[in-house]
Order: sequence, then structure tokens, then C-alpha cells
Amino acid sequence: MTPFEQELKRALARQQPSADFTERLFARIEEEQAAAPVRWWQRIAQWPAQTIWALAPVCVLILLTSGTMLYTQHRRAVQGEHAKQQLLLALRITSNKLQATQRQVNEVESERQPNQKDNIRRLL
Amino acid sequence: MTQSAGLVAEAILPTFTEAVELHKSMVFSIAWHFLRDRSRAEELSQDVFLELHRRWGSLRSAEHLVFWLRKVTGNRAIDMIRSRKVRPETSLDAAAEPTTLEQMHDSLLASYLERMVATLPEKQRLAIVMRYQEDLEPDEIARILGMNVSTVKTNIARALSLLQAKTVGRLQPNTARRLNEMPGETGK
Repeated sequence: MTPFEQELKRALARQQPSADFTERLFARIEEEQAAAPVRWWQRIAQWPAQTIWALAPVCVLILLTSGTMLYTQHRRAVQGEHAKQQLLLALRITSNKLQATQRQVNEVESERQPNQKDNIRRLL
Repeated sequence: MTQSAGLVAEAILPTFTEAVELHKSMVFSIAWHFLRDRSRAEELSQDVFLELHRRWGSLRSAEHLVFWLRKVTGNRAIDMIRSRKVRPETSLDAAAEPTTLEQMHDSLLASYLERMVATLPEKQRLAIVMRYQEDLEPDEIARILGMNVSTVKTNIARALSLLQAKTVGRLQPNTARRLNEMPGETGK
């Protein structure tokens, strides 16, 4: 360090603020605290970092559990919907088959009825 | 207690009250050397400690505390200068050349240098205060001010040569010779 820098260092030595500095500061802090009630998130923000780190695994566990529960619920809903669609399709197919069978029975019936009339006429 | 910041580095975080007692002179001196206005420097220091109280939970260590205090004080000092148009009473170029400087005593020289520092441009002034008041290395100053190390070194070198040119020219030959030994060295 050059002599000039040493002079500069001496000139820029630390100085003390006024004697009542701390007192005034704490008065201002009290004033501020009285004016604004502390909210829950502000209380959490004031917690020591160690406490926050200690609570972090618990928060992660809660998030994971609730996430898993929500996912399971969602999966069940999807499976239920799928089963419903399959049931509706099966009913539709069954209904179509029944209609086709009914149509065939009707056709056979209508073919048999004129033959029966001819037979009766022949007998008479 | 003048260099308390260095002593508490890497130590556990003190209580808020201890932190105020330990660092109030550091915070006040940065503000005072920057603003050259006692009441504004006190007001700024109080604001810094109020902010510290609000953010107390987010601080991790004593080292982090000192870093935070220096950074916030520096930024707020610059903000105060810009928002309130606080200007130094004299500028380096316009500074009068008092005849009493011819017989400048050491304490007067210190006082003169202090006033001249307050006339430097903002960034140079803050770099000089951090370098010579806080005894910080350029890389530490760069971290606090959010600048490149080379920019900090340039700022310090420019400020030093400006201050030296203005001061040495006004001294008695013997004093000037003493101050001019090994000129131009700015870092450790």
C-alpha cells in the first residue's frame, strides 16, 4: 500500500453514529411492529433457517402423499369411465343382435303363413 | 470493534441486538463517507437495520450478514443520492484551493481527503470506501457491488489517480514527496 493509500485509509476510518442510535432504532422497530400486525407468513419468514430446513422434509412428504392420493383418485375415475364405455358398447351390440334375430324370425313367420293357408284350402 | 466484520466472518449468526452493536459503525461509516451528511447517513443506517430486522430469518451466517449489510448500505446510498439529488458540496474540479492547505496538518489532510472522496462519481466513491474503509479486496468489492473485478480495479485506479493529483498538488513539497512514494499502486 502506498503512503497515499495509507493516508486515504486513515481518512476513511470507521466512525460511530450518535449515542442514541440503537435506542432510536429499537423505538422505530417497536413502532413498526405495533402499526402492522404480523401475519402468519411473516412469522414463518422470521423463523430461523434451521427450523425451515428441518420442516422441509415434512412438507415434501405431505406434498408427495397428497399428490399420490390425487393421482390414485384420478386413475380410478378414468378406469370407471372406461368400464362404463365398454358396458354401453356391449349393450349396443347385444341390442343390434336381438334386433337382427327378431327380423329373421319375422321373415320366417311371414313365409310360413301363406303355406299354411294353401294347406287348409287343399284340405277343405 | 472497528474491523468487527472480519472477526465474525464464518462465525454463527449473532442475535439482532448484537448485530446492531457489532455493525452499526460499519453501516454508518459507509453511509457517512458516501453522503457526507450526518443526519442522512444516520437515517440511511436506521433504514438498513430496519430492513435487516424484517429479513432477519433469511440470513444464514455472520459472513452473510456482513455481506448483506455492505451491499444494502451501498445500494441505498446510491439510491438516496439519485432520488434526493443529494450532491456533494464541492466537486473535484471546482474545489477551492485553500491557502491553509499549504501548511496542511495530518488531521486536516485526512479531513480534506474525506471531503474529496465524497466528490467522486458514485461507483468510484463506493469502491474507494469499500477498499479503504472496509479493507476489502477488489474481488470482494465486485461481489458486493455486482460488478466485474476488472471494473472495480479500474474504478479504484481512476479514483486514486484523481484524488492523488488533486491532493498532492496542494501540499508542501516534503509532504507531497512523502505521499508520492511508489505512486500508481492501487491493489495489495
